[in-house]
Amino acid sequence: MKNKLRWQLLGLALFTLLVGVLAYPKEGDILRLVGIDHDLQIRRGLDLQGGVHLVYEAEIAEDEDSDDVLRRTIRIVQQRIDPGGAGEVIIQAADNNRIVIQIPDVDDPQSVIDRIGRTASLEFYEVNFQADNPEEQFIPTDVSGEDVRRADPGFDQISQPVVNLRFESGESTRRFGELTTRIFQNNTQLLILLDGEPVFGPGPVQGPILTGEARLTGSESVADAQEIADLLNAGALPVPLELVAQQTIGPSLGAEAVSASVLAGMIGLLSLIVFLVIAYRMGGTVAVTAMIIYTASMMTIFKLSALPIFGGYTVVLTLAGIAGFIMSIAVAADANILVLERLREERQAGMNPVKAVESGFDHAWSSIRDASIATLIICVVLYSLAQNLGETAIQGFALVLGIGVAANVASVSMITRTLLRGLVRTRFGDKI
Amino acid sequence: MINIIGRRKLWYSVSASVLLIGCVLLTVFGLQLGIDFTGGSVVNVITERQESEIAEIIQAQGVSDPLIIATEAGYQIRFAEDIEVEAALNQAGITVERFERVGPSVSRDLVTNSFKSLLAVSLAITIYVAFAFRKVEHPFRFGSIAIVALLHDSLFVLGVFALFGTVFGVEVDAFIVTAILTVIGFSVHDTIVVFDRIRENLLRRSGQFENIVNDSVNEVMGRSLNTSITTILVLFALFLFGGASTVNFILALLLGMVSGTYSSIFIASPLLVTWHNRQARPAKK
Repeated sequence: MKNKLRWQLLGLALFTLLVGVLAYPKEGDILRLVGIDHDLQIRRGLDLQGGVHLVYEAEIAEDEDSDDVLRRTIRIVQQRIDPGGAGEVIIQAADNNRIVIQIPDVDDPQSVIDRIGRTASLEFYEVNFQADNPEEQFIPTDVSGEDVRRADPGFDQISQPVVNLRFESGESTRRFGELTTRIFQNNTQLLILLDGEPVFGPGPVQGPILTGEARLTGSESVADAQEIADLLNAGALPVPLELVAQQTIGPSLGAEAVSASVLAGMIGLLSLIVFLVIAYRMGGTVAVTAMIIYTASMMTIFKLSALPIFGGYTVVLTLAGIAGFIMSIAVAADANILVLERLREERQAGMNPVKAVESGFDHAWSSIRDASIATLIICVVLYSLAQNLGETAIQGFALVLGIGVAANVASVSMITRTLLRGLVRTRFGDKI
Repeated sequence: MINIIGRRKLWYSVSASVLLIGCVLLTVFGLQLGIDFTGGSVVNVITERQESEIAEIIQAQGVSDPLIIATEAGYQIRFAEDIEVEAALNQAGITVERFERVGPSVSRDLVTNSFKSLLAVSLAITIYVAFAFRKVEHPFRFGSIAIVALLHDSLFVLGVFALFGTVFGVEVDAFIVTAILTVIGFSVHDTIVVFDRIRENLLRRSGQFENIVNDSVNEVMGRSLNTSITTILVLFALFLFGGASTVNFILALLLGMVSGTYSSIFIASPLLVTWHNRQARPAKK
């Protein structure tokens, strides 16, 4: 027993050292000493970091498979606003016909909204100004944006920004070739519209284009040409999107909220420590130590979950998430208090300290277990509901609280118990 | 030892009157609902310009009746339409600190989604508590009373916010949903801890049901007080120093915490006894 306890205490010391280093705000400096050049960061939500939160509603026809439509729409939106996939953009489907988009650090929200909202449909028309009836002047063709394989920004001979189109080889190139041949022979004109705005023509073609390449003129700037190219590469949205809710939070507001919460959290934690030590003396010190290790472990979990290998499972800390964290601290305090109260009862009943630790633990366990499971059930129900409904704040709350409660059960049963067992065998044992 | 169970009628009437006042406030004045519930827009801007200038820019975007309130560094503008005004304000060189607009379909959903969440959580908790207490008699009583306690606590918090809304104009937005959910968490947690003590004593001791419950509540009192104090210390620090954006949220948690501790001892446990006695001595005809 004693030997095993020694190993457990050693393991606990190592664990504390590890989470202590990782949770330390400037952990990068320490990690570099051991040759790891990597800064860890807690991923903050939009309300703490600033950014744009957008909710779109898709007009999906009843006979369409809404999951499939939303999946395709999300893929296209992703390419439009985050072509390389490098930004911390979160795009989620919600509630059957909604898409929730969260973009941190946006300078110009309106341009993002404009870019998402564009249908980006490219239409090719043959224009015959000789036709008598104005309605017959514009002849639709069988070439569309779907035939385009790639669009790239570039410059024409007179250094004007243009967008170079490359058609799909085979069928698409052949049809575009036929269209340009027909226009050339009929002496009509070609018109290309992007979302109803002309991006080429109407103008004559110099000859049949059989190579599958075309050039769109009329871009105002290189950035404009780049945007059109991005839009065309992403493809057209399968359904129109309507913006139904929007939230923009400036970065300063978020920073204030963070620094205030951190300060408040520190004061709160400090007063909690003082209270527990006064109320339970030696036992309180153990509880406080366990809770500090618990808090450091939670910080470590938040930081590590932001690493790329945990891809989709990052804990994004929002104000609601902080609330979940506070509640988890309350739960942690309660678990420790339950153990200490039981311990005190056993001691008052005259049990020797070593036995009292074990007995106090066993008796407190059932309530810690049942209360934790109930809270976990709440978290799971809330998380899955919120995920379906697109309520990101509730989702963040449930995730953080759930992790906290689970970590707390581990913390009490391992850290508090091991420390108490260790302490009771020292000369302070009688004071517990 | 304090005779808590014996004075249960007192606790019931305290709770009943507080909740009754809450209900009256809720039905007569209601909550001051924010745009998350009603739909519309809120803009916070930082600027030194005149109010009339701001009003002009906003109205040029098609807003009919904006409400403009001066803040420390600028203005807060509210209106019922969900119209994008950020670009226009930016163009006029005004810094938009926060812009929020909520369409009518989204605001409707928040209400139904909140009720759905509450219902699902209540159902899951009743079933779990009944399962956890399967070794004692009538486990479903424990589950149902846990739900009564959580409704008690949520209603109390909502009632206080109805009061604050009426008196101070405190507005309720999506935070209240998260807050109520947290309160539910506190409440269930507390109720289970108290019930656990009752369960343990019911299985180990013999005697009158009422006495066992009263002993258990007294034994668990120290823990309940200390847990409440620790949590309240943390919450109170956040309330004082946590910044303006979270004040209402933390306040809701504080109220919920106090109510949760109270209801587990003074409502949930006595209710067990009341239910037990009613079953043991059927009412005379």
